[in-house]
Amino acid sequence: MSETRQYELVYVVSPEIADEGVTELHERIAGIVEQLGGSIDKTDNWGRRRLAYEIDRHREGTYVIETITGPGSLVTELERRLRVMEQLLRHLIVRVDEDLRKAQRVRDRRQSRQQRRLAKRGPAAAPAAEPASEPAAPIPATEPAAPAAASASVAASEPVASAAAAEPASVAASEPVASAAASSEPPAAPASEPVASAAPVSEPAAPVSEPAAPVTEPAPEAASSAPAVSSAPASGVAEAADTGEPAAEPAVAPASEPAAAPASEAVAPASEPAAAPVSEPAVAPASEPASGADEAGEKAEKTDE
Amino acid sequence: MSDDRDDRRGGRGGGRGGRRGGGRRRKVCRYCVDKVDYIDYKDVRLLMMALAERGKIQPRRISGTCAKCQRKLTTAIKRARQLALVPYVLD
Repeated sequence: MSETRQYELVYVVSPEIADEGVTELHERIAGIVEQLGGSIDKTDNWGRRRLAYEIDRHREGTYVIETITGPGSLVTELERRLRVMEQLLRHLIVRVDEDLRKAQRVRDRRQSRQQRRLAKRGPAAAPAAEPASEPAAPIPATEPAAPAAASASVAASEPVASAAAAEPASVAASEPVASAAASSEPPAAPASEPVASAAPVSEPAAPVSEPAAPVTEPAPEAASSAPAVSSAPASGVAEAADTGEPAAEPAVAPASEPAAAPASEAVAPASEPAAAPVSEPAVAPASEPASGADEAGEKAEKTDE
Repeated sequence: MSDDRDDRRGGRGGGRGGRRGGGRRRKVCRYCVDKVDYIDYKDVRLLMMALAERGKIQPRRISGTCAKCQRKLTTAIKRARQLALVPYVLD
């Protein structure tokens, strides 16, 4: 028979409607849904949010998300009713049960696999970790010894210098990075001062350190050592904001997983400052790592066009 | 041929100082690595990171995203655009 499905309804209410109007609207929609044989499981009011672009001269709107369970016939009717409501700037109904189920399955499978793996090499895990970290230590000393007398500071200055042409901000970034690199375990006192002023600035440094990974690719061992060194100041700067200590720890971790660890690390600091300055500046830092990285690609695209 | 490749990948390490942007080759899918099972169209932060400078969806050849994730990402971005969560054009 008519099976019930899970849908997600998002609608954007015009900013001219006050909060009472929004709740009233919600009740009206709940009434329609119930009348059509469905039910609203969850309501999430995001409140007023800036729109990504102007709609009917409005720059913000109130976002409400409703999780609806009901038959498929509900959607067509609800959609028709929603379209008539003038208070709504936008609305969207999406079926989510299948996607969520799929995601859940993937998560379950990963969890069970992880447990199995842990159970299998419970005793073997300890010796496996040690040889991985050991070769990483002597290699930065020998291989990049020539360019990196003070290995950390040179590693930091190198990517910064190459990025100086692209980003004026990176010039400012070189300062805190260098200071953080010089004291490889940045104590809270000296680190906090430049970091505080350069909280958003440290972010260009993060993507900058990223290219170091493929750069030294010819020698895989060197590649693994380079991100370990260069990501240490970057993550040190980022993390110094929170705590202050952990600069040595992340340096070890990327050594074992050369590509994955520094990549995700650099991603995290880039996204964090994007959230802090909310509206317009958020756009710039978010696109910065992307634009800096794919400048070449973008050019190629343009020539294609 | 291989020269050209080397240049793109190792431009910075060689200290050539070419300003060819980041010549990085990320060979891994960010979403698989981060274990994002469901790319949510409401996750603005995540989606904004997948946009190029002008608000275009970053192509796979640049971001390194796997085909599966790119498909999910594309639908998510397009949904978010309809809701004005993510811009169609950035300028």
